[in-house]
Amino acid sequence: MSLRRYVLRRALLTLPVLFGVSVFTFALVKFLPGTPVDYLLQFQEATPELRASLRAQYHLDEPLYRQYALWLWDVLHLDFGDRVVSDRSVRAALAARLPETLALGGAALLVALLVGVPTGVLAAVNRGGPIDEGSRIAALAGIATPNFWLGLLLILLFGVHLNLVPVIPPVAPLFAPESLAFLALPAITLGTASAALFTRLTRSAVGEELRKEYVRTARAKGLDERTVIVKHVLRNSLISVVTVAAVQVAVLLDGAVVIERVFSWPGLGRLLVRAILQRDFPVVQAVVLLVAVGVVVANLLADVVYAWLDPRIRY
Amino acid sequence: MALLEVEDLVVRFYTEGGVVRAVDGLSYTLDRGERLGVVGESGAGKTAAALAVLGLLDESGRIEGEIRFDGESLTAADDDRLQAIRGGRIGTVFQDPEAALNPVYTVGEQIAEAVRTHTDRDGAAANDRAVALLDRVGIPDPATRADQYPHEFSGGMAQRALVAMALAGDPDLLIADEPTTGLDVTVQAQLLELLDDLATADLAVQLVSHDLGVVAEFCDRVLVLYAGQAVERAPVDDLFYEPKHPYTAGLLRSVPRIGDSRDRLSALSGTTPDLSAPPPGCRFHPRCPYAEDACTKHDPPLAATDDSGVHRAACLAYTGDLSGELTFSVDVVDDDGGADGGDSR
Repeated sequence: MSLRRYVLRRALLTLPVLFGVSVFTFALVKFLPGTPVDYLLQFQEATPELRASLRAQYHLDEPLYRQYALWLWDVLHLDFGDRVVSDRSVRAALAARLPETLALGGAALLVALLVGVPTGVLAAVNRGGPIDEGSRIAALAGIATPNFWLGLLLILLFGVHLNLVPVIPPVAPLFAPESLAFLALPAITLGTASAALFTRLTRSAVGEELRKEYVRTARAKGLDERTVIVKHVLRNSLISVVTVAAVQVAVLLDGAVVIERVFSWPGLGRLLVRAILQRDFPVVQAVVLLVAVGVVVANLLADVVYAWLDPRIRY
Repeated sequence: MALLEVEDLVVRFYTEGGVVRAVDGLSYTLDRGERLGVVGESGAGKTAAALAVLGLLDESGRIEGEIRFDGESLTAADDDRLQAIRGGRIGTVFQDPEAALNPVYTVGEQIAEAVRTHTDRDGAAANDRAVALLDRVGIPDPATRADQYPHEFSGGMAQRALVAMALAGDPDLLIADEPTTGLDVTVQAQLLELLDDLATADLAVQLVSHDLGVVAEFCDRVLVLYAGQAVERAPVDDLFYEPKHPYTAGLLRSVPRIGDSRDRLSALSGTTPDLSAPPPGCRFHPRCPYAEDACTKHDPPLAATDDSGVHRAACLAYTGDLSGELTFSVDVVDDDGGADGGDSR
């Protein structure tokens, strides 16, 4: 089977998952006590006429399956309805916040991989040496430190005492230099635990691969140790790292909710927290759906990378 | 000058269970174009000795003694020099060919990598050379095969590919460590035929094997290892027709033969000694039917058994320290038939 057919099949297999996600997200609102109209009208006087018109607008008098179909149809057209707390559409709010969260999550994942994988390789190659022991202690500390606390410490140290980075988000486009400078601290904060995890994971994967016989073959044909490790061992080791990286996408999106609060980062996480407090249920629904789809897509990507790394998967 | 000279090689492995002397005072030479068989049970130190030559022992392995290749000391060589020799002047083939290839690269790429490392060829030229090498080791449709991954190869094909890889640097010596182990009998025969074609005056072979049949068929000279030491060294015919060491005789008796009328093969009693605490004196004495008191006290040297000194064995019988006599004999059924019991051919 070619790589393309493999990817296509994997993509098709995500459809049932996405269907499940949509049903769950739709049901989420139905499980809330009261009807959505109660939440919509929480800030104003409710006349029976207004209630009736809202019920009609939200199709609440239709049977449930029809409500779901209508909602899904809108969602597929990226129409998530209007916010409860303002007249702006949910889509506009998401469009403003999504890039911020993607940038934060992406940067955190990048930090985690760029720190974790090389450290893990060095630890495995120098097994039992100072680098190995040092990285183990650092990884343990990294996993054990609560990220919100780490975030506050980093703000105090780099933002307040050393005055190296701004402590409030700059008013600038996302990819302007000052925005990227501000991104550094939250990305490090969010990525630390994952970096620690990747360090340990890479160390054990590389350690395991080093014992395999193809490594001896690679050395026996006269390759230098660097090529043996980077070209032969690392590629085989990355297979397990990629699998975990996909799971970490969910963990990072989760962590973003807290970290965005700590750093006043204008992303989905802060939007979500405020929406929950304000009972802005269309926003909650849309964010939950978006995050779920994001995790599904991350897993699909992992499958593709996985197949690219290991030809045996494609067959 | 011999192509490979090994002098007093000691290989120690530092394990949690103590220090294991896997190879203990091994000396041998290998001439240009010669085919040397190294035989022994598992744990005799065959593989450790072969890996020591290439400097490929695990981190826990330590070498003493002297290894010279074409007059150059390998024990004193730095990493760069060893890398140039590995795959360049000494090719290697290991057992378990499917595990010896990296599963995530095409077979052609893995061979081309060796070509790029040891020759001036680069890019397409290296790939062409890889295809030519696959062709040389008898892989049909080599251009297509070069683009395939190891899991698409059978064990025999994978071993041929490894031989092709070992030939990439046009080496003077091929070290083959149990190259036929784990392969089907017919595939074994084909692979030996291939090695036979390749081993010319320009390519010496050190064949490491526990399979006496393979060694008898292929080698010029044989070195028998027991518990990390050489116990017998002789031209192949002398060794198989007239073994001089009780261990070799025991090994030969334990091999099943076509036309054998024995109900039961005679196995050597006992097991290979624990190499972290080998027995004193001759290491074979606990298992030797001819052992005497002297055998527990003196470690026998590899002594000449005849006037020419070509056939040597490490037994006190040949240093005059044994009061009894070695009385074993080995019946050999060779290909022409002729043993009683009747060879069917």
